[in-house]
Amino acid sequence: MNGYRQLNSSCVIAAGDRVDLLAARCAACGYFIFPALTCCPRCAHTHFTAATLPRHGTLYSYTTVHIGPAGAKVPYLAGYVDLDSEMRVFGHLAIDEGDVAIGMPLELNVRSSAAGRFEYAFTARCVTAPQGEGA
Amino acid sequence: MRDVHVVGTGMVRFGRHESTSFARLGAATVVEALGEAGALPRDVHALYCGTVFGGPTAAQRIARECALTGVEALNVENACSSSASAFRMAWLGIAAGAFDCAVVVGVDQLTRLGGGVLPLDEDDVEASNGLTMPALYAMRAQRYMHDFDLAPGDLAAIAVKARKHGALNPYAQIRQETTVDKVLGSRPVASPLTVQQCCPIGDGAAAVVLAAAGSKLGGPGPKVKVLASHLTSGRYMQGDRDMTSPEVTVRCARETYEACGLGPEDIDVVECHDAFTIAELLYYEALGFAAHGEGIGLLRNGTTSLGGRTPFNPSGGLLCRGHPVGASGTAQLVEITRQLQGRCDARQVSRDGRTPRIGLAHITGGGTYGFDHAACCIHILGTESV
Repeated sequence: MNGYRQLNSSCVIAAGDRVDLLAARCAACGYFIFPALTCCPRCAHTHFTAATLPRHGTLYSYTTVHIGPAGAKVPYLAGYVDLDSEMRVFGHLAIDEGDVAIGMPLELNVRSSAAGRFEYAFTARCVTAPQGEGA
Repeated sequence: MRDVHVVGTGMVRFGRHESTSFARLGAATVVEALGEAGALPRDVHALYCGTVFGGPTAAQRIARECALTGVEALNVENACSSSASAFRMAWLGIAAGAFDCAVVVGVDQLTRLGGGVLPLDEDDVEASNGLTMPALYAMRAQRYMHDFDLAPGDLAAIAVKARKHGALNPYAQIRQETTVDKVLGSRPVASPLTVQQCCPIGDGAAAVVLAAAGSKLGGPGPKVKVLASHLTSGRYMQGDRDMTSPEVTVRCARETYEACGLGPEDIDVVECHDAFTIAELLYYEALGFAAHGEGIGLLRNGTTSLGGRTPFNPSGGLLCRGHPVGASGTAQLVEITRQLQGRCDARQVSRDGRTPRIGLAHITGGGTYGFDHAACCIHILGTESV
């Protein structure tokens, strides 16, 4: 469901039936980034605490991609989703093109696609995430 | 800092050049620029090459073709801004007094990549999930249309204008005019952008010779001086950013104008980074020619068309001249130089019945997450009568 490259187990936090994408929060200034970097872009501090991406957001913008990266199955709907005021994440939108609208509420779903491999997409309503396979 | 002049220009028509070697494609433009400047290889102290896909030591391979070996040679990669960045490095060296004369060449051969969208970094968190350059601009377009109540036909009108200009430019890859209906009916790439709203895949090269003011070198027409040279990089912002206001260009333009004391009202002609139709609209505003959300007015009232107050992309821009990425920066600077010298025939810009005196070249680019774009480079050139 998610382009041509998948996340490995170091990119997620799995707990029970929940799998979340691993983000980082600066230990000094609290700046929230995804994925982690060597230094905080805001204060240059080098210590971070693990955090997970929020699961709910709103659609900032979108496109239907007809010519994709080499190997990608087209067409696909993708967009930028604001998960909170300081975090915008790009991903596939697993919704019908006719239903898509800027500002619509979306949910981030991470699922295990194979042993130790994960993918994510945004859906329009709550669905039960499949079982993770451990992080 | 010393004044620096553009004393020679060279360029090939952009298009399919896959049977020409990379080095020969670049060398043809270097030789033309040296000839125009009246420069011999011994007059040249440095060679800077901008390329993204040209591979290692592109400058040296071009130098070997045109008897420029043994000089300071440097290869510059900065995405679409590569050869504009190379131009800036050469300008900096001459202005600082390190050397007196340098050649700048930009080259790329995209047809050798096998077609499709430009490859991006597979480790990038967005590119690895399906982000492409057309998709990035398409999402800007979608949001812009939403925020400012534009229709797909408004974007298509930008392609129609670019095609009108490109039809007049013998160096342009695409020289056929089009209509709004044809633009909208062309193949979809990333909605709302169709293929006629995207720069074509092609090969090309362009070169300039730069020399310190007072040099004996120089070609036809009035002397063209570098009035401003500015390069900056994107500022990391993951959320809370307005993608209809391109951060790196807004900041680069402000810093450029502050450095040279000029403003949009002083500019007679612009070559901007119109890789996609929406881009030209965003850059009208980011470069200060229109307020945010009001850029379309400049297109509708003809301001940015040939014959208008400030023509944008008289060459046809990236949309029609073509966009072999590493070559586009120098191609813009060749176009601006020739415009200021009154050498552009059917596409010549005129300001109040005279040759334009000040022109601006803007190029940005680099698709990597967390930035509007990785790089932005702006140059302002002017004739000595300024």
